[in-house]
Amino acid sequence: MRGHWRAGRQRACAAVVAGGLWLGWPVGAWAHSPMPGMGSFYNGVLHPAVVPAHLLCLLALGLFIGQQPRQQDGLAVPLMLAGTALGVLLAAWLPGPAWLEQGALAWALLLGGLVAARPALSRLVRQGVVALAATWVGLDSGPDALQGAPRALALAGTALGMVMLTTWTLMLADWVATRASAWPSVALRVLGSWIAAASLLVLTLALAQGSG
Amino acid sequence: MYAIRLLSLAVFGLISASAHAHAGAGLSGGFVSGFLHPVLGWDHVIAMVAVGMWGAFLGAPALWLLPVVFPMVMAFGGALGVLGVPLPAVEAGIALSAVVLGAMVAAAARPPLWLAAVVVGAFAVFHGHAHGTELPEAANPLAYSLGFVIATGLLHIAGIGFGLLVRWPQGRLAVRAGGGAIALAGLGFLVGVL
Repeated sequence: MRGHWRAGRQRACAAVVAGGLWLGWPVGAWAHSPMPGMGSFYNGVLHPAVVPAHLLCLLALGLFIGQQPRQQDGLAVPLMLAGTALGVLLAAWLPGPAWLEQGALAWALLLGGLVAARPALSRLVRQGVVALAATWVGLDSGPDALQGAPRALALAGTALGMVMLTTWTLMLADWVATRASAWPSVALRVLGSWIAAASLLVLTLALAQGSG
Repeated sequence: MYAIRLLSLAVFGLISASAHAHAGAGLSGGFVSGFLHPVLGWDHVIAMVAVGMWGAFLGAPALWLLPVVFPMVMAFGGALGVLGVPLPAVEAGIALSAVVLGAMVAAAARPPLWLAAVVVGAFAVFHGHAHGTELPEAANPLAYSLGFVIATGLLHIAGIGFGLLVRWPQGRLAVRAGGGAIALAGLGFLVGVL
């Protein structure tokens, strides 16, 4: 029991730190930095939050990971981290086609729907979804206008931003999952439903405009 | 204490009705436009509140199932609107939803869950279609989508908050009366007097 409470406090502290970094970071992004290239890093950190498709996908990913009891899937968070790293590494060298962003919306639709429906998935399927979704968003984060060191810095910042955003959300979902009352869990499922609904609409619009 | 919580829940949901703002361009403008779309349409408002009230009346699992499922079914209807798939008599369908859902609450109807879901889902398509046809014109489609989905959810919460008064005998009467009022208003929209 004591170990459980200690682990819970550790996760809560991590969530507060991640949330504090996230909230405090944008202040620096709007100021001139004395270090050359650090502007790219700040922009990279903010990138997941200012691209709506990525924001929705990462929020849904965090909810999806945190919704499941920790003891059932200990690999979800490492796979999210690995997928993020792989995605931004690929983005460093590969040009990202425009449809990648629509793909991020498709992932947001899937993840939001899974959070809302909360089906019983095999561990392999859950892990695959987490890894692929994180990789996809990372891959779509390449800054087209930058090359060389600024590009690398921007992608490093993006990886950090992605991890912070997803971690904060999954900590929230994890905290909700441990509440005795059923209402917080219902609220999470409603959030997933909202994310899925908005993603479906915008995806449909993108497909309609693309084919028109 | 419980009644105070319910009242807070209903007020929290109804705060969405006071979100008057200029709908400008960009992310915030798109969100505001989407948020206001269901809120400024009284036929939408009364129908969405009725969904929440009926869910509260039916109790668990309908109480939480409807707010989870409704946005996605509504989005399906919205997708039809975006694609230009014609849906006959959309406005009449929206007005009829208020009539039927209000009547269900007034009559304290407790059909099987699957039937309630089918009724609510069918009307969700009409509401979604009406919102979806505006989507291509939105300043920011994703923000617009989030706006009207969230506004719809808040209206459901307002209805649930009020609907939970059924736990008391007088509250049950009040909720049924509210359902009757919604049904009458829906009828007014349907025949054109409102």
